[in-house]
Amino acid sequence: MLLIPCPYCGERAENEFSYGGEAHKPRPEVPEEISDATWADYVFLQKNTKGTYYERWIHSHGCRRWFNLVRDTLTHEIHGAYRMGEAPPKVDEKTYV
Amino acid sequence: MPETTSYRQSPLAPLGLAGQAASGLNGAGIGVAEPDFRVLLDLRVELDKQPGAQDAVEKVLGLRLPETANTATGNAERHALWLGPNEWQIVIHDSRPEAGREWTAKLREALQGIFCAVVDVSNAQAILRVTGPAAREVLERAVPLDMHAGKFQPGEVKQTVFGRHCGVTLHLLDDAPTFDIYCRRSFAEYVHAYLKDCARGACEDFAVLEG
Ligand SMILES: [Zn+2]
Repeated sequence: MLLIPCPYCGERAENEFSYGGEAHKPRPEVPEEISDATWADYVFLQKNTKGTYYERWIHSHGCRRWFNLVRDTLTHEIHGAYRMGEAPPKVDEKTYV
Repeated sequence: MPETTSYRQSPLAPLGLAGQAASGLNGAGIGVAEPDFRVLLDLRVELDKQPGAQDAVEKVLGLRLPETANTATGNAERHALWLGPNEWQIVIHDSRPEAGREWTAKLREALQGIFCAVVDVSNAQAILRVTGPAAREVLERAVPLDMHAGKFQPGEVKQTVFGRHCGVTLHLLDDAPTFDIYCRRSFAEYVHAYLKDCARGACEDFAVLEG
């Protein structure tokens, strides 16, 4: 099980959290003015990087706050967590093939 | 004022805990009690944007909201439990049926003009008090927290998942150790049964104590 560092509560077990997908993905400002393809792209398509990935989590059984996490999706190494609106930590980004 | 008729019933009432209650642990490693009804209020306010909130709360409750994550403030009769950066659970030991309404009104009046929310959640939650030398070891089997004495100290509050899926708030009161466990009332019997199961093997005996 992962130990996830909630930016409010500190390190907690993974089963207290729920996953929220890719982070820093801006919602289209005026959804009714964009094409279906662009909307589908926003809703369904994620980078799904094999490597350093910026993702959203919610501490659903703890403080119930959303936050961002930088995690290596291959090694599960966690590079840091930061609150919504904060800048991500500087990370030596990696991708694997 | 006319006397209020109350139809309140604890979700643990079917277990008949009061009938089995002993006055002390008598050598048991862990004892479980159901405390009397309490007033539980959910308070949401952004303290950095509403600077008057702390003073208003203090005027009514005589305590200040804890700003450190996972801690509580208060005394034997009243607590404020940190639930999130802008959310607290106010606990008041007042078992009168109309107490929830009264305290909600008092707090709302004091907070007038401050952007916040006060909601009476007294009847949404059940409370179990767990005490005894084996309490940490028994709870450790039910929650994914580090229950070591150095990692969970009196005055701390932690929300976590209990057993398979049930959310609980644990408030550690003293070094006995004594924990107050708050859970949704529909999970109360589950939490009680799960604790009893966890106690098996962890300690000599499981006692039912007076609330
Ligand atoms: Zn948290």
